[in-house]
Amino acid sequence: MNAAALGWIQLALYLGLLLLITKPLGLYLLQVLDVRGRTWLDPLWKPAERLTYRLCGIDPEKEQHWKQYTISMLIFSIFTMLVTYVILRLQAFIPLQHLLNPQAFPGLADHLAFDTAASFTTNTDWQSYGGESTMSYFSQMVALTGQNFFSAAVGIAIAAALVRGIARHCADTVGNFWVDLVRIIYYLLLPFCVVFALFLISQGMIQNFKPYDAAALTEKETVQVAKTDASGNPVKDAQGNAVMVPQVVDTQTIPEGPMASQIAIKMLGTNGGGYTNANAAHPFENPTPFSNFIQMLSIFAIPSALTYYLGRMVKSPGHGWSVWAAMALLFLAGFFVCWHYEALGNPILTQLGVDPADGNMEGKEVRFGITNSALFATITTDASCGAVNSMHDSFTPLGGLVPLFNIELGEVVFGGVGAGLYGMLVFVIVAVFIAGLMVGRTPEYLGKKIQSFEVKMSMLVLLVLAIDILGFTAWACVSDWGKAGLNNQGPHGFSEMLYAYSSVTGNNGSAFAGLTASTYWYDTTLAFGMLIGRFLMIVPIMAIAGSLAAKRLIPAGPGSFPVSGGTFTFLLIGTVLLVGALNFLPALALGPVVEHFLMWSGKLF
Amino acid sequence: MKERTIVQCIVGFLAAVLILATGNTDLIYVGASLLFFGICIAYAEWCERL
Repeated sequence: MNAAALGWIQLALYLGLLLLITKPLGLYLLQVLDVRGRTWLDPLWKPAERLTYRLCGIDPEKEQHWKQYTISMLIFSIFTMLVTYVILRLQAFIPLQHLLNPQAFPGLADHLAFDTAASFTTNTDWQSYGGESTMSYFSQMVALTGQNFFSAAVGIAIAAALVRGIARHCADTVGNFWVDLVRIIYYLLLPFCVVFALFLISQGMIQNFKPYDAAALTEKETVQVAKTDASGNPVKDAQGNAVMVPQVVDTQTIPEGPMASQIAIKMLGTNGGGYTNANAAHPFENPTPFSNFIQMLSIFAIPSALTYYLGRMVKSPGHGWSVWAAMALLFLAGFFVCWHYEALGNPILTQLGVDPADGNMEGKEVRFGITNSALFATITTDASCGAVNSMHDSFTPLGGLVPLFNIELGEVVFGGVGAGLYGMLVFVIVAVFIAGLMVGRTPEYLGKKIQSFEVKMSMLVLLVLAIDILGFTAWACVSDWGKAGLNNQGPHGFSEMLYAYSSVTGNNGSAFAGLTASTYWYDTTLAFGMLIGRFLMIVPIMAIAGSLAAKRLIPAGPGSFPVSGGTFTFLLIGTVLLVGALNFLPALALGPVVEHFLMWSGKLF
Repeated sequence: MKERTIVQCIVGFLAAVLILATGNTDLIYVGASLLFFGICIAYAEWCERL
């Protein structure tokens, strides 16, 4: 059977399984996100849940106004961000170094610790470092894995609050943040991650506290490395170029550590931050085709189930499925474009004698090939995951445009856990508003009038997305610090900068690579890009939740716009694409589109 | 309310000057983080009034 046929079978299997788990997982979410909900884990977790409330002084029966809910979330986020910062700075001083930092890694530089703390707090997991050469086991387990749980739970909690706001009427409150946080972690993320981690271990993923191993290479290699002086600074010649010296490499360092426990939440929580620098392309981090498939499925699992949760909460299952269908169609469209261009290959390599039937294999794991690389890249950028099993920087220009544009759509195609749903609901409000304008009636959404306040808040969300991405990219393009980080020139270099700020704003975290981002300027601006992209969007979304919760229900009439069915689905898709295209097509034209035409005229960057 | 905002701004400004004067980047990053989250809370207030 040829690769294309296998690709079609895998795609059908993937979508079929995703569809299959959406309803049961959605039903489970209904119980988890209800303080009085019952789950099969109650005998295990109920005492721990009650104890947590008692120790933290939380009254689970007391609900919060949207502003209280938002401020609770902000306080929790700043607290965990600062704790992460301190741990990363002081990782060399944590007790039990032989066990928790056997490689004796020093503390992170201040700018890198700040960038990483912001990154994991915002569910971005952008990494300006290589995990296996920077992080102690303690940092990986406590600072980063801990944040993976917390940031994922925050995203789901915000989505739940917004859905409650839509579902309720004449209400002042949208839930209790602390209760949502505790229940999501105890009943959803922890148990699912334990099972998932055990599965990953069964596939060959490591989970230990051993120091790194060294393996003797069967074939020694000589590489050129920069010569350094006694204090470790690079030596330069009279022209200012780095002096290179040969170095014989005869051993390979094999990383060890508690990997499976981190990878489970990395995928399920759509965090994406790799334990190793190669992320899911590393054989330890993604050992088999089966682990690759399940990892891809786990990225979409919770975001997909949340659409069912939406439908059930608002007593319109058809609405939930319509949102799901819009997401699925956008996902398929992106995947087909990416798959096509990666399978088409690079014409310049074809001229050099590379078989075009292999497609564009540069930067791809031969274990996964074209289809699985394109599929993984589309899924990870539809959701704000950011894990990668191939290097997006090496994709063909239009193949690479897909991950970039996916992120710029606002990470609403299933999206991050929670973040995808609340982002898509902003587009739903815009779509309903547009439909109202078209028929000349006051827009209604599920029996509630959409008025100027909701539209203003939705516009704030969309403006933050565009300004954050385009503003920081423009700044980097015209700054010395921005250009100094580039390893590729021309439109490809521009794409690298655009991708970086798109990725952090969308809280995706994948990189186009090719950009030396571990500098004061890049780390600091990327960190603020993440914080703005996360919290300055959540605040107006929570304001919408509060406003909708307080509204009265209006009985549906003949002029009410139906929010389920094909018409609504295509209106929603059109709205998402239109906003994305209006905001970002000019920038995309300067990057991947120009690069595509130049590649076909024989020029690479 | 207005007086309280003015006092908060003055205290925030003095704290920022003190932090910058130390030249300690850890303090600057922590201060900037706290400032950002303070802005988020003010942003929530502003959103409510819109």
